[in-house]
Amino acid sequence: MISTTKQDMLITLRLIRKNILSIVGIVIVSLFVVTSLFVALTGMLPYDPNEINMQRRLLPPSFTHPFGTDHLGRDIFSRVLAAAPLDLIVAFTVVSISLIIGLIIGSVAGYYAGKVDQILMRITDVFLAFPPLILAVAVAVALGAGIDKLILALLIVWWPIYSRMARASALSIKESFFVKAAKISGLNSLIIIRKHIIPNTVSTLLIYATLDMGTVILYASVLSYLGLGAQPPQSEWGRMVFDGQSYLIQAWWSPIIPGLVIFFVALGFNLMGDAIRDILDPRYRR
Amino acid sequence: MEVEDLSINFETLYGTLKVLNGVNFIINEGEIVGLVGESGCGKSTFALSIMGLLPPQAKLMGGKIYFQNSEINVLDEKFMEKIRGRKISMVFQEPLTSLNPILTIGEQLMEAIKIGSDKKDVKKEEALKWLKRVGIPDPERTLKRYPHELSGGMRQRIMIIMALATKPSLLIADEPTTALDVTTQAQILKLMKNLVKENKVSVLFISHDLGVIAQIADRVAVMYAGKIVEESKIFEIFENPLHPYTKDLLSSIPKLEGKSEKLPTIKGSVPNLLNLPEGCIYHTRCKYVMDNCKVKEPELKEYLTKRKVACFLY
Amino acid sequence: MAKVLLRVENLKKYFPAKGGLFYTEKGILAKASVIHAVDDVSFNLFENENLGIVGESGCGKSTLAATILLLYKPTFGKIYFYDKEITQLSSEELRRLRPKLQMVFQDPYSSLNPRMRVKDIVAEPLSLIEKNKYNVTQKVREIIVKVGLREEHLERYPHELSAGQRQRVAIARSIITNPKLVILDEPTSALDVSTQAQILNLLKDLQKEYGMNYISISHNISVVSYMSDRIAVMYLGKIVEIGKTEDLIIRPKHPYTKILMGSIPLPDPKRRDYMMEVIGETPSPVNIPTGCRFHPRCPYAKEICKVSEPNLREIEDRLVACHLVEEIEKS
Repeated sequence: MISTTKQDMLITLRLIRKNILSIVGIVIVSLFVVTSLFVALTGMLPYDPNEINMQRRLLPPSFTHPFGTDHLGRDIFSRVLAAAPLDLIVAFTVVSISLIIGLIIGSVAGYYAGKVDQILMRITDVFLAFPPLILAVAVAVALGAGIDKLILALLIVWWPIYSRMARASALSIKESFFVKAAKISGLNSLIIIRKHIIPNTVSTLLIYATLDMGTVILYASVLSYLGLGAQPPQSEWGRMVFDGQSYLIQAWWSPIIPGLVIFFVALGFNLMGDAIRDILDPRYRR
Repeated sequence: MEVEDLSINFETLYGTLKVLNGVNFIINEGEIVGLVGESGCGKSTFALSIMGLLPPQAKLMGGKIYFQNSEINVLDEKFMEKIRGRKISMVFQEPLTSLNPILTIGEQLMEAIKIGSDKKDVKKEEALKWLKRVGIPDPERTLKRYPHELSGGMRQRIMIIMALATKPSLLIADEPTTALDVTTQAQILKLMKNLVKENKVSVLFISHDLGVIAQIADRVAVMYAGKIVEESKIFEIFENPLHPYTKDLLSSIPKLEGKSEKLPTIKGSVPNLLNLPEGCIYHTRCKYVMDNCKVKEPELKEYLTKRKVACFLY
Repeated sequence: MAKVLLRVENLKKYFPAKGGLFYTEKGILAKASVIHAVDDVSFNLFENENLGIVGESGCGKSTLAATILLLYKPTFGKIYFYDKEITQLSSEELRRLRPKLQMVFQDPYSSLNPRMRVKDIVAEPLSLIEKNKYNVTQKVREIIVKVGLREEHLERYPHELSAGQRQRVAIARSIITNPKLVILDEPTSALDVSTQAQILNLLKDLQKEYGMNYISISHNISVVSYMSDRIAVMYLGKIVEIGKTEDLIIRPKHPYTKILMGSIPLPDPKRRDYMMEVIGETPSPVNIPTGCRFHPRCPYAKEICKVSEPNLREIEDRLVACHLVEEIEKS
C-alpha cells in the first residue's frame, strides 16, 4: 500500500505530464526566474548592456549578438537579460502585496458582512470603476517616473481585484459548517479569519496570482513604453520595444525581440497558472 | 430487459476501479424491480450503463444487454438515442438539475409529450390531463411557471410525467425520492405505484433505502461492491434474508418500535474497488465466513424456489 | 424531579425574507416578508435525558439548534442553561460557556476544515481553554481512540478519510471539552445504513462514558427515536407535539404527527398500507396560515382551527397543540 501523500504526489506528477502545455509554462517561468536570479546575483552578462558603440549599431542577430544590437549599438541579448530581474521584482512585488492586502480586506469584509463589508467594498469599487490601464497611467503620471513609483501605481490598480475575490470566497467559506463549528467552540472572529477563512481562500487567489504575474509584466512594459516607470539607461522590455519601434523597417529585431520576450514570459505564467489550477482543483484529485 | 454478465471498469488516476463485476439481471414486463445497495456499490453505474450514458472513463469489459428480446449495443450512440427517452426513460434524484431552468414547465412538457397530433391545443390538453393526474394544483398556472418556482415534490411529479408521457416500456428511477421529505416521499411513491400500473411499464427502482424498496418493489436485488449478492421476491427477502450482507444490512436499521440498546453493525468498511478481496467480496466482513469463501468466488445461483443468492452457505 | 439542564422559553427567530435596508427581522416595514423560522418554541431538557426534534425540511429545526447554541441572536425569547439565562451574556461570559455546548453537523465533508490536520481539528476547541500543549495532545490522543479511530489518523487531512471516519473526527472534536449538551444535527444523514449504525452506537457509548445530553435533530424518525427519550415534532416553526419516544410513535395525537409517522417507509413489505398520504405540501414560512398552521392540510380541520391558533396543552403525559385532540381520539 502506498502512503496517501506519496500517492498524491504520483497523481500530481501524472497530471502535469498529461498536460504538455503546463510543462512549457513551467519551463518558461523557471527559465525566467533562474535567469533573473543569476543576473541579479552575479551581474554576469555577455556585454555591458549600457555600452554605446555606434560602430555595431543595428546589427542583425548573429552568433556574437544572438538578438542583434539596437540603434545605439547595445547588445539586445544583454539588455533583455539585464531587464529580467527588474520585471521579476515588479511582478512579484505587485502581485504578492496585492494578494496580502486583498486577503485581509476581502476576508474581513466577507466574514463580518454588513456595514464593514459595505464600507470596504465601496472603497474597492471606486478603484475598480476606472479602466485599470488608464488608472495606472494616471497614477504613474502623477507620481512621476521611477521603478518604485511604477510599483506603487500598479499596486493601486491591482489590490481591489484580489479583495473582491477574497471576499467572494470568504462569503461562501463563512457559511460552511467548519466555521460554524469553530464559532460554537468559542473561537473569536480574528482567529476564525486567520485559521479558517484565509487558508481556504489563499489557494484560489494563488492560482489567480500566477496567471496575473504575466499581466503585471505586460502592464509594467506598457507603462515603461509610455515613458513612465523604468528610466534610461536602465533597460526594460517595454522601454526597449518603444526605443526600437522607429527602426522597425531597417532592424525588425530591435522592437520585435523584446516584444516576443514579453509575450513568452506572460504566456509562460498563464500556462503555469492553468497547470496549478488543475493540480489544486479537488475535482481532479478525486 | 435482460442483462448478462455485465462488467464495467473505470479508468482513473488512481488505477482501475472495478465498478460492476459480472451483473446478471432481469426485469420482466410490468414489474417493479428494486435495486438496493449502499453508496458506491455500482447501482447508479448500472442504471447509466443500460441507458448508454456511461461517463467517458468507463470501459465496458464484457456482457450482453437484451431489450425486448433483441441484443442492444449501449455504445452505439445513434441507436441509443432512438431508444432513450422513448422506450427507456429515467427519473433522477435531483429534479431541479434535470429540468431546464429557462423554459417553462409547459414548454418542457409539450416537448416531451409525443402523441399523434402536433397541434398545440391537443398537446396542451394532454399536458393538463397529466398534471391533474399527478395531483398538481392549478395546472393551468403551473404550465406557465419555471422549475425553480415549484417545490421539490412538484418538480419530481413533472419529471415523472416527462418520463411516462412518451409511453416507455422501461422506467429507470434512480433514488427518485431521496431528496424529498417523508410526507412528500409517501405521496410520490403512491403516485408512482399507481401510474406504473395504469401505464403498464416496467420499473427499475434504485435506492439505498430498504424502507422505500419494501414499500414499492415486487422483486428486489441487493448489490454489493459491483455484484448482485441476492435476488428474490420482496416478501421473502425481508422476511428471511439469505445472504449475510442482506441480513446485516436489514438488522442495522434502527427500529421505530421496541428500542434495542445496541444496533448490530457490520464490521469493517466497503472494500476498495481498486483492490477487491479475493474469493467472496463480502468475506472480510462476513460473520459466517468459511475457508472456502476466501479463495473461491460464489456464483449467483438458484436456491429454493425462485430465489437467487451468491453465497456458499446455500 | 430531575434538574432542568436547558430551558427554552418562547423562543422566536425571524429572518428578513429579502436583503436590504427596509427589511428587518421584526418586519416593521413589511410584515409579510419575514421568515418565521422558529416561532414561539418552549421546552425543557432535563439532566440525563435525550431529546429528539423531528420535522421536515423548512420546519425550523436546524435554525432552532443554531439559536440554542447562540449562533443566531434570538429575535425574542429566553434560553436558560442550568437556570442561568444565556441569551444576554457578554461575549466573554459566552466564550467561557461555549465548551459546555457543542454540536455535530450533518455533512462531515464541510464540517471539517480541509486545510487542517485531524489532530488540529480535534484540538481546536480544547486549546482555547487548556493552555498546556502537552495536556491537549494527550487528550486528543485519548479521544481519537475513544471515537474508534487510531492515532495514525491524527496526521491525516479530512479528504483522506471516509465519510464515517470524518463524522468520528467531528464527534471527537465536539466532545473533547467535556460538554454537557451536544446537539446532533442530522448526524447520520450523509452516511450509509451500515455506517449509520456504527455512528449511532458510538454516540451512545460515549454518552455512557462522558455523561453528556444529546438533542438529536433529524428528518429521519427512526434515527431520532433510537437516540432520544422524548421527541418533539416541529411543523412550520412550532412544536406541535412532545412526548415519550415510544408512546409518541405508537400513539401520535396531533394530526400532523399521525401523518408524519404514517409516511415513514417501513422496511417491511407487509405493512404497505401503513403508508398514509397527506394533501398538499408545507406552506412557506413567510406566509403562515392563520389559526392552526396545519389546518389547510389537516383531514380533521374545523372552523375553529382556521381562526384560533392552538397552544401546547397537556394531555395524558403529552403536550399537544391541537384543538381537536379529544374529538379525534373518540372517533
